[in-house]
Amino acid sequence: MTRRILIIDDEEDIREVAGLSLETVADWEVILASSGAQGISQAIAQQPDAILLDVMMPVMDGPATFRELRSNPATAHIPVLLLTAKVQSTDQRRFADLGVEAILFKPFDPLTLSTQISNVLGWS
Amino acid sequence: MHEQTTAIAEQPARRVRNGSSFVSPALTGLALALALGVFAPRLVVNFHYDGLLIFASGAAAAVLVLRLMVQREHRQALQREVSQIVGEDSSPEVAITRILEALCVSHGWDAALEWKVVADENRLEFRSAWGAPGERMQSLIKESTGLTLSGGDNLPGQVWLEDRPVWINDLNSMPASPHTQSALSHGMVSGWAVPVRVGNKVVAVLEFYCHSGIRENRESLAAVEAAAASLGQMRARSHEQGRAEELYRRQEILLDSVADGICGVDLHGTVSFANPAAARLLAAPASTLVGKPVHELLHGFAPSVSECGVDCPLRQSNEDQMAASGEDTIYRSDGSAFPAEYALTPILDHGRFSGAVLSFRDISQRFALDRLKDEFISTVSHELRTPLTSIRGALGLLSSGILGDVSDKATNLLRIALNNSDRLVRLINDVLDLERIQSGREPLVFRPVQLGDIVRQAIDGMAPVAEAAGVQLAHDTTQVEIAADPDRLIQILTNLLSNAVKFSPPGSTISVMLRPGVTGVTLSVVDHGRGIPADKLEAIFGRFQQVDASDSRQKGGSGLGLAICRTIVLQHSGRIWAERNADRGSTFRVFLPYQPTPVEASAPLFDHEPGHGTVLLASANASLRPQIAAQLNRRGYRVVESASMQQTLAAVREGLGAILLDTSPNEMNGWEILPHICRLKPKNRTPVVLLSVENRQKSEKHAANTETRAAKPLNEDALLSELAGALREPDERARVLVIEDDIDLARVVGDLFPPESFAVQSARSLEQAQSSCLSSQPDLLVLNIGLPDGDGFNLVDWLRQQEELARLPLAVYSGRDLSTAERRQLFLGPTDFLTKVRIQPQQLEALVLTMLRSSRPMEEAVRLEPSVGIP
Repeated sequence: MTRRILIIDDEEDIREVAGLSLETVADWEVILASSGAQGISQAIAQQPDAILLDVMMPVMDGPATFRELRSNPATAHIPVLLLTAKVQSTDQRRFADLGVEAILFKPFDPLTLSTQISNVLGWS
Repeated sequence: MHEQTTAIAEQPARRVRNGSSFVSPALTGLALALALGVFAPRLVVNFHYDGLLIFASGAAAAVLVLRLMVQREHRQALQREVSQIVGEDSSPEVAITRILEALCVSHGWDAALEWKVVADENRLEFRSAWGAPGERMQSLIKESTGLTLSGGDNLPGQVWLEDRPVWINDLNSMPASPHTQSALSHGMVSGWAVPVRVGNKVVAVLEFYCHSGIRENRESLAAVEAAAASLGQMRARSHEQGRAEELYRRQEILLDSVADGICGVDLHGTVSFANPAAARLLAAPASTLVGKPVHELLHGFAPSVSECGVDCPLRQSNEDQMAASGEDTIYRSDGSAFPAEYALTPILDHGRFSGAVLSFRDISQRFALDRLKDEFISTVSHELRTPLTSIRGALGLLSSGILGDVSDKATNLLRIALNNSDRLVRLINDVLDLERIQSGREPLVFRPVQLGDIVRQAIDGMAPVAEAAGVQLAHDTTQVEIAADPDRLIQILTNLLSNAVKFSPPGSTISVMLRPGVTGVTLSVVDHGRGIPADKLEAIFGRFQQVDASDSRQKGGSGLGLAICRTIVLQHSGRIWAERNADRGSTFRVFLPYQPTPVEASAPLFDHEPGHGTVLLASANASLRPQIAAQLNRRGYRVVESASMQQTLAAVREGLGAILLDTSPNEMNGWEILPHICRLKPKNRTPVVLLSVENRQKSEKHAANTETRAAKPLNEDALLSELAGALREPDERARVLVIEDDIDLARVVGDLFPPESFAVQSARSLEQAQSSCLSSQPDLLVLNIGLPDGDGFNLVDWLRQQEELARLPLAVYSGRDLSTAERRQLFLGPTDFLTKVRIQPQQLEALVLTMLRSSRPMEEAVRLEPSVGIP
């Protein structure tokens, strides 16, 4: 089943690789956003099935973007997965406490990224 | 040259025999000799002089004897004078001139000069002199001043070279030289000189001149040699003294200039001296430090909240006269704290304890550096991961062929690139992991684990890798329970198994075995790989130490795996080592005790949870104590339990924040103990809280003495508020700053504080909180961890860097439970954590009062509570 995924990441290369991975491996539809603000407006407009959200971004970081998404009724229902290069467990716990669906780590395996997302969200 | 003088004894007559009576020498001897000469001319007098017998008779004998006696008296008087000069403790320079003068005056000589031996330059140097009044002698001395003579040169040079007295009856017989010429030109006829020795070393030469031709004689020589001997002793003594003074001066310079605090400790464990650095570090004059017991010195200024218990290692080592060293918090005289490294070293004098030396240094800079390092590593690892993510992702997609066909050669290259990017990721992970474990920032979580289950989990995890390598994994089914951190154990096993698989040939088997012992269990991972050379068995546990330098390239390891294993094992109080198998391969063994004594080796000091104070829990009820202790522990109190009167009184002597006394009629009744406590420390104002179920009447008569009562069965909040009440300070409106972005919630929290006791301010953002803290320093911060412009972690970080604010009491609340690690990041002064949904007004108030009380120094708290406590 085709899914629509919004990737919010300020790193263009990562956006591209992750997007390509989801498009080619899982045949999903991918929407790209390069900042928290852009991501939020995309999420409102495009209503993706899930959002892959980077943590460290300038201006509005991942947690802030997430809080905004959750507080907006138009996006509150969309599952969010954090994609982070921060692997220290204190960071992880802090992120987990935000209430995100899952935390995925960078570097990710492009061949299994879509499977990971599906597993977390219970997509068959 | 001795023809005439050999007969004259060097020693005084030892005895004069007259029939059966013995008469000692000196004046009585003189009288006797005269009598002998006059009235008993026929009598043979035997004088023993230096082994020679002189037979004399009649008047000739009397004259000889008389002369000897006079000379001896003369010499003795001179010697007494010299001794007196030497004993007067004047400087050697002054003393020597006086001695030379005494020698010359008593013998009628004209001049005496002292020449100092400068051995390393092989010369004699004029040092001091005495000359008879008159111009001639003054000129002689003047001409000698500043003169140097070499060995063998003139009279003094000859004496030094030959190391014996030299007597020149006629100076004209000397080889011509300026110094001798000078003596001759001033009318000197004879001259002689003797060496001055210290031990058997000639350190100076004394030289004498006379205007008449005095022939060499034993008596004069004996006199100058005796004086030279006294002088030598004096020089030696002053040399020793000088050395001691120099040593002392150097030590003083050393002690004054070192940056470490250094204190001398006497036999009784009291500070006997303190260097300026110690005074500076403790912010107290050195004089006030002397006389304090060592423990008192370093921990005595601690505010009551931070008082250490009887188990304080510093206290114990001082009491036990044992060496101690480590890191601890030390308090300055103003009660402020700093992390320090200290060493208390006993001084053993011939195996007997004779005091100790204490040294300590401020290591706060190192702490700051550690934090910087952590941040750096975290940032770097993040920054490295980001580009790696793109590389790894792109390579993964390309090499999968999903984007189109790739030639075999290109696929091979892509595989190489992919493997290496994976290796880089592992390396970054391991570096981060090792740093994290070693820093102690993520402490182990010990719980009972079935080691067999852990082994199976690790083997399951490694199965795909082992299968790919064609290696079998086997394990025995022993079940052993130990206390350990299961995640870390799996990490150890995974590392060991992964190594074993890497170096095992296909078709071989790796076995994991468990062998329970008396104190712990030994886990072995046995492989049949290529083995480890004997000289590398230990080295491989170091960082980036591999058996073969090419291993990391070929096998893809980071070189940190075993270092990580060892660190984790050590934190389990265990051991890890490698052995060579008899046939082939190696065995890695891990010994883990059943019950580890957790060592957070380098855990930062300030991460230790600061308590709100030490509470003595005195109750004979063994089932009640743990329950109450746990409740108090949770709230940050340090609890000392006691079950008997002796224990209770001993603990009271140590000093406490509060005493919780169980008054139930039991083996130990609080009512009975109370008077003892009062007697023990009549001036003590330690609050006492009585825990009682019954017997209310009895309490009336002690009511004035005790703070309060809490009824059993125990309600946690009631107990805490009683305790807090006991510690409360009246007449003080405390400033509370509530940091909360939600205005409504801020109001609710603010309303929890009764306005008669609290002045509540609120801040809605990190920035507001910072400016509020700076403008009016609050007594307490109440912080919501989720702030809009930066979370509470940032605020606490900032506060920690402000000198004035770094120890503020802090209550943190959040919508969720915070992890231990997170809590640790949030500690400021006395810190407590509340969960938003569970907070009860009384709970908050009790807590806040406790925290305010505990943040003040002991003295102040006592002064503010003149009417409470034990009278």
